Amino acid sequence: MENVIECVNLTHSYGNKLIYKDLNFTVQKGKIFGILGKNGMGKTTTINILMGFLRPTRGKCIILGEESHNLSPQTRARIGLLHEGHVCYEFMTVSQVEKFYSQFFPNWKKELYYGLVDRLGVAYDHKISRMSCGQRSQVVLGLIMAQDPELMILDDYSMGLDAGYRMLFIDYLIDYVRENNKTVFMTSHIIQDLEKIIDDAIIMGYQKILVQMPISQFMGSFHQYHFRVDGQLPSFGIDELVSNYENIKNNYILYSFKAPEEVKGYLNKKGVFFAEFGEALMTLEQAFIGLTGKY
Amino acid sequence: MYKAILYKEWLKIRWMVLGYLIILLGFLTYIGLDTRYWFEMNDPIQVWLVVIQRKILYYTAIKYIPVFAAIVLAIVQFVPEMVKKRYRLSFHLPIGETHSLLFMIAIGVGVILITSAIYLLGLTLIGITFFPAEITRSSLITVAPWLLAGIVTYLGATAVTVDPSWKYRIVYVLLFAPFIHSLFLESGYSEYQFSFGTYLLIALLFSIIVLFPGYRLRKGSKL
Repeated sequence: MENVIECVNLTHSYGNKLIYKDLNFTVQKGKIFGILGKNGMGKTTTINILMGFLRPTRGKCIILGEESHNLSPQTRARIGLLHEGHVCYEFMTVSQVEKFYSQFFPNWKKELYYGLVDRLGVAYDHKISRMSCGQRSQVVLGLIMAQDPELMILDDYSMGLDAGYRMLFIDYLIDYVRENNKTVFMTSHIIQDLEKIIDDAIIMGYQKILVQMPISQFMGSFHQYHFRVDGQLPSFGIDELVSNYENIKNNYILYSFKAPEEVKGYLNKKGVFFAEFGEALMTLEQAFIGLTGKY
Repeated sequence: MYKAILYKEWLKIRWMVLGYLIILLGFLTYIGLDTRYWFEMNDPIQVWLVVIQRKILYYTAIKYIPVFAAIVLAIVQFVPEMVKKRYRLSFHLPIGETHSLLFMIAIGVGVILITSAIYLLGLTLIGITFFPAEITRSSLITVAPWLLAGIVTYLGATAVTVDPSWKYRIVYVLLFAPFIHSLFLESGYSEYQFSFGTYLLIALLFSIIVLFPGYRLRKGSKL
């Protein structure tokens, strides 16, 4: 399948502070790809590199066949960007901003923009600066959809949106993307929303990628086990079997990609006296926290 | 596409331009009325002595107006682009970043040139109404450095507004301020008549500097 984004050995540091080293990932055409990570793990840096606003220290990202920091105007026209905070020309009105952007894109779909804006019930001469964050998010999404891009890069689309507007945004996005076979690269700090949107994901940890796989595979293979320990309380290293763990007194929660029997075998091998071993179902958010830790 | 950029810039600056025109025309009217008052209240010989012998410029009221207008114009035009990192919107448009920035600056310079023409026209009308042609011609030569200062100030204010680093902003102020100051050192008529060409050339060199902050912004420089 054709790769729309291909990042190879991506390394970036700010001065002496290494953000990450040798990141490799690809985004296939028609997929919705999510990049998840706690604050400071390099999500925004990656987005900035992909958007061409930052040149990586080493490595490269190829977007639609061109290096991300040197995109031609023709390729930029094929990419729709949603900037964190739904950045928009707020000094313009609803109709002015449409008039402005429509002159840059030959396949401009005016009806998609006004279809979304009409749902807000705002007048076309309404200034964007006087809109709520939720309303502005719809205007920005409408502009991106009207542009008819092949690739959409959405940087924390959920920032500042209440639950209603988040759902509205997602519903429109999913409908548009699936119907038109678009590729999406997105981040959000509301992990639970991404569960029903994204196909593939990378979860970023400190200076590296922790997981890169289809989200269904991740949810199917990452487990949360709980058990009670009798006797001396053990501590575990983070290794191939234990992705993370936490305990409150003698009640343990252990996260692993391994099957229950393997984990039990591991505990037995370590001489841990455990009881009430069981597995709990997780949401994506719980799995994310389980993998990356609460702190 | 350039038409769209012109449209965007116009939306940003239209009220400022209107305000500037009102202020400029107000000052020109004031100078005209003040000059007429001089002639009505004083003997023409006396006025002549003041204007020629004592080198009192009758239009100093509008000396610094182009500079102030240039600063306001650069702020009105580029601060909205910098707030919330909106310059990224421009940089992602399917048009060359340098072309886009240059075109925006060209629009600003164009506004300054048009308003400068009105400035010169107003002074010419006042001059030919009250004084001989030589005085009028000399007034236009005298104000030329002030108008050039307006353009250079606009470029400097743009560089300061656009650059993401305070360190570089200070450097631009230190570069531009002395040159702009040097355009206001006259103590009489037409004193820059023979050096104006040199000043114009230096101003052209200054115009290149304004591309630098745009380039730094594009590649994400913070230092």
